[in-house]
Amino acid sequence: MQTDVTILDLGIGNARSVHNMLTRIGVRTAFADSEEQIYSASRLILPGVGSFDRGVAALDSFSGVRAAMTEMVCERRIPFMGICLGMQMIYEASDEGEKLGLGWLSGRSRKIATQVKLPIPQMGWNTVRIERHNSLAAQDREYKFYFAHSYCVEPKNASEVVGTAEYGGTITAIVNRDNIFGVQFHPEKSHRFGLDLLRTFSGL
Amino acid sequence: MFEGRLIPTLLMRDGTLVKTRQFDKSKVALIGDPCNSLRIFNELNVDELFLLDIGATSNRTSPNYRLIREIACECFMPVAYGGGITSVDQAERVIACGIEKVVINTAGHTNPSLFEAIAAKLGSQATVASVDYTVKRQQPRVISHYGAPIPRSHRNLENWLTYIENMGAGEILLTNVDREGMWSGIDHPTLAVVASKRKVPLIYHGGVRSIAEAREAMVQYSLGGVAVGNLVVYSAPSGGVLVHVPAS
Repeated sequence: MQTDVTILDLGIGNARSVHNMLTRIGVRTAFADSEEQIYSASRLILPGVGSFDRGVAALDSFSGVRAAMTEMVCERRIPFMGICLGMQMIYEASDEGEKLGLGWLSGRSRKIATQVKLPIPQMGWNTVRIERHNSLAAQDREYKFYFAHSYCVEPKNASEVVGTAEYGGTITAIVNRDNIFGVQFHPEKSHRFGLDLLRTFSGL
Repeated sequence: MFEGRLIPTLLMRDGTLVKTRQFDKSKVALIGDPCNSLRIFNELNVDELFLLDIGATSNRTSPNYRLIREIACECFMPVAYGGGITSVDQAERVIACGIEKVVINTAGHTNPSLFEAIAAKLGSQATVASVDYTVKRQQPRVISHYGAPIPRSHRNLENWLTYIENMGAGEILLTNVDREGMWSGIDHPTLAVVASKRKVPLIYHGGVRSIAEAREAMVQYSLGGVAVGNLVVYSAPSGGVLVHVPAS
């Protein structure tokens, strides 16, 4: 069967939830945890929850997966989306841990710093403002997504930030450079807004 | 702007949705099949769901992973599951079923370090502490339904909330058992005392009569959310079963 979207199932995120939502909108999915499966992908999604070092360790526990992902995304340039920790892992590092991320984009994750007293982690729905034109989310629409995180990405290159949310300060919500996308929130748990976003990604 | 969540709270026993009054196991009403009801909540775009298996704890059985996986599969919103979780391994298995958060209540009384252990493994954002209390002589007292012994120092609600926050709970589901299922309104005196001191999001549960009352309380006490049961499974205080979300 032809696959539209390949979901990396490395035991660090709810691959199944992403699969369920994509299936609901008629997108054909496959799970991957090996280099062969990644080499046959036409689009990749990396879901992730939990701590940074644990995520990187899980990624590196699958032989050849890091190299295969990097080749498919950075050289063959297939559309890629990292979700939550999966987004943080495409950057170089995180203040939450010591291991090195995929490093496709420059920058690191830092603990959310709020100017007013707000609970950390941010857990809940928040509005996302689209700051720059991109092929995933339109600037003239209002988006609300479900967030659950204590750290957020600070890209070195500010032009990668295409979507932001306000949580005691400005938080990077969506990043994009060429074929690479990262979302800090959970589209698979953001009902109609998530469905729209995943549908758009599946058509890229 | 960050918004408080309105959270339908569904109780389950032996694979069926039920509704209680004052969490009394002898006054259980049958509501229906969980998966069908959850599809309705998908259509209504609800913010989040709490799913509490009240049978798992009382029968001392493990979570029903097969059913949890089936339910998670139906939910396009964050879901927190509670019932029968007594170890980190069980919490991990529940999360692996596609659930966002685990809810710990009874096991937290017998083994308070469980909050810490689960938060270390799964993150505090996935660790919800559920606290049941009753009001006696105008004092909120922590109680356990399933006979877990509670040390005297942990019976004081304020002390217990502070303690479990320090243990790593990322969120607190606070249920006034006197009001649960009774349509008797939100417990303002208790919220006025405990809400402002919280370091983590506080979700109030018990007696909520209307969506408007819930929204007002979220603003008044900066709550992370309000959990509602009767309001989403009954059409009116005396009415029949109607799984829904009232417009206002």
